[in-house]
Amino acid sequence: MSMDSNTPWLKLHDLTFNRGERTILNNLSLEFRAGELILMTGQNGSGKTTLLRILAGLMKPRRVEFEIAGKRLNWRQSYRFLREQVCYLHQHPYLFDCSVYDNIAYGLKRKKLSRQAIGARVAEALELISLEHLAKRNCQELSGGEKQRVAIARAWAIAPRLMLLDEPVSNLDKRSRAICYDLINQLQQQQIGVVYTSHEPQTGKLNLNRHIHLYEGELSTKSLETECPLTVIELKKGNVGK
Amino acid sequence: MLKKLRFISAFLLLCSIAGLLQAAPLKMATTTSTQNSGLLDILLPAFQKDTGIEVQVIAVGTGKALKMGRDGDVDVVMVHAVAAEEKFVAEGYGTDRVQFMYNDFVIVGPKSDPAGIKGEKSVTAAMAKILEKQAKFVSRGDDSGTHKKEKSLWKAANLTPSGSWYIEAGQGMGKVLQMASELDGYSLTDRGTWLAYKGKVDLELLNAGDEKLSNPYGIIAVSKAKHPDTNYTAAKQMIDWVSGQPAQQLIKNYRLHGEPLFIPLLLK
Amino acid sequence: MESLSAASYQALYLLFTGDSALWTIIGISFSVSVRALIYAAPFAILTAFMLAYFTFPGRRLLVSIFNTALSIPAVVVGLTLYILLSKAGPLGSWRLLFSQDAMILGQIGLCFPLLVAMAHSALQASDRRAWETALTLGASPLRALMTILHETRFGLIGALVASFGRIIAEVGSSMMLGGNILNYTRNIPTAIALETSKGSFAEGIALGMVLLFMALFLNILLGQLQGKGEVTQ
Repeated sequence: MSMDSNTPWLKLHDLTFNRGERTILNNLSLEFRAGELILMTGQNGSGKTTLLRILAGLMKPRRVEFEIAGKRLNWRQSYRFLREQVCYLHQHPYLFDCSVYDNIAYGLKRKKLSRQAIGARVAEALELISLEHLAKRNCQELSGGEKQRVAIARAWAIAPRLMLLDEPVSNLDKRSRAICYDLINQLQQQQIGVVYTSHEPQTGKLNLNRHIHLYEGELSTKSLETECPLTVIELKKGNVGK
Repeated sequence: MLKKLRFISAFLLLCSIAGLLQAAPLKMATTTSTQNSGLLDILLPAFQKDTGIEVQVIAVGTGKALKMGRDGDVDVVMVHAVAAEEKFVAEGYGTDRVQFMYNDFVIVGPKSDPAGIKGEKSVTAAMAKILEKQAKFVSRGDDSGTHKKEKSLWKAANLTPSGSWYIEAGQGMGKVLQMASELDGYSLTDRGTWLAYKGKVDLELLNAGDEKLSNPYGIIAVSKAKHPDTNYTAAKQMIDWVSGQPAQQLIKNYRLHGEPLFIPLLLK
Repeated sequence: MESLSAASYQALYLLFTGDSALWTIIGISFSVSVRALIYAAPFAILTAFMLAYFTFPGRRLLVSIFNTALSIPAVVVGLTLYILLSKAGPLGSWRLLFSQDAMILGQIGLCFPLLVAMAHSALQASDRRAWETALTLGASPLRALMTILHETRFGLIGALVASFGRIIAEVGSSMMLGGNILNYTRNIPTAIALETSKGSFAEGIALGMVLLFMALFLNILLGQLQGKGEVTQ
């Protein structure tokens, strides 16, 4: 990716999402740069998952404007681009009822790559998560931590610009958590942006670039923990016109 | 205790048998077309008035009616299939067979009459024309009396019908008339069913009158030798009664949709 | 009862000696019902998917309609189509009455609601994460749909098997719409009705046995699939 890491490749403005009468997200604005690792915190029901789904192009908000490569686009013009460039991982990732290999190859097959190219990429992905020996195993037989790693590998394989991890470590034991943090740091090094949610501000051994906090549908300032080497806090409260 | 119980049950059994003997209704198997003609609704109440015997009618196809007779499930059989009746008697399953009336079969078909059978005197010649033109012909195909009659007519004409024009329906007469109407085909039907369906289907009576089309009805008692528990007395009474003059007069006077349907054979 | 055992014995004899008339009837039965299922299944499954995955006005009403349609007797379906297809009816010019196509239409009418209802409950119970995961990995909606169908395949095959069982054993609409024509529209149930009316019980029992064996086979298959479905969930 020949992108200057300081220029945001994706911006969104005026994001509002309602569920019935309730406003879940209110007039948010955000921007994303390549290789940025963002921690998003907020209580249960604060709208973290909703925001991630919208970013992945899976959910249509009431109002939004995306800015992609300098062009201002509405939802209909941009959701396909988002589905291609952004990959969303559920809190409990869903693995298809087939082998680990086929799961990782799923997104690659959609890209009309040759069989050899797919094989090579899947091998790389398996190496990344160190699960080469489980390639032929059916995914139903994996442990929780292994499932999480396969899901990350499957998303990584299609080389997205941004990966959205919804509470990836909340159900994992200590060892699996460590492996998972390690993986996330590797993603960052490969210039893949990551948004990582957690309802607790615990950050582990992650090299966070930013920390955003959702509260009652709005973003609010939150300082990073001191052990984080980089403390770039960049929060925008977009409800200027209010 | 056990002895007492045995005694009581034996007593009850005797009572029920006595009850059965006293009011034992006569079970008669007949064909659906006979029942649909409505004649039985006139004959049977008159029979019950004269003799006090109640008749239970089971209306099925000819083949099944005769099978019920063979199995001893009924006491008397009223059908219209000469060859099958003769075989039934010859094999010892039936006795006292009487042919007591007849009606006739007719050929019906679409108004346009593509095979041109209207006015043809000989029914076999008419059927030969249908085969030659490969005009659609809907056959009962169910081994019924009417189906047997139709097969005997093809045989008499020295023809073997086959091909997509020859439709073996395997259903009752009324249904076959509806199919002939829908498919613009010909069909052989008994006059009774034809009169009943005349107004409901898009068909016309095209050929009738050949004596080969006559359809004699027989009544046969189920053999007491084969089935000792059969109600032979009542069956014999029934046979004598339909052969008698009052019943023969009733048959002669019967009208369906204002037209006579049956001709009595034993009227003096 | 002697005649029942004799008839059964003769029935087995007919089946295993490959009585051609009998096997023609069996062949017609399968060909008509399989075709009806092939035509009905894609639309029914798509309908079920729409009902399960999307919300639109009238969706609940549609679900109720399909569930109600499950209990419509076969003869009513047959009669309705008969009236439509009859010469005097609105579709009379198609000249479809008393043909295999008419039987297929009748059987589609019978199995469609069952397919929709069963596929709907299978898809309703399926995991929404599968749909989102497929989309976020770059699958087109159509491709994602295929993935969902693969993930719910046990439930869907169950729906197909149950529907097949319903239509192959159904006599009312086949008799009315097909007309029980020898070598053309005479299938197993209408042939049983005919053989019984003729008093030839052996043929009737032989055909009944085919249906019975098939029902047993399908139920075993269904049980296996359901068992498998449980393990993987």
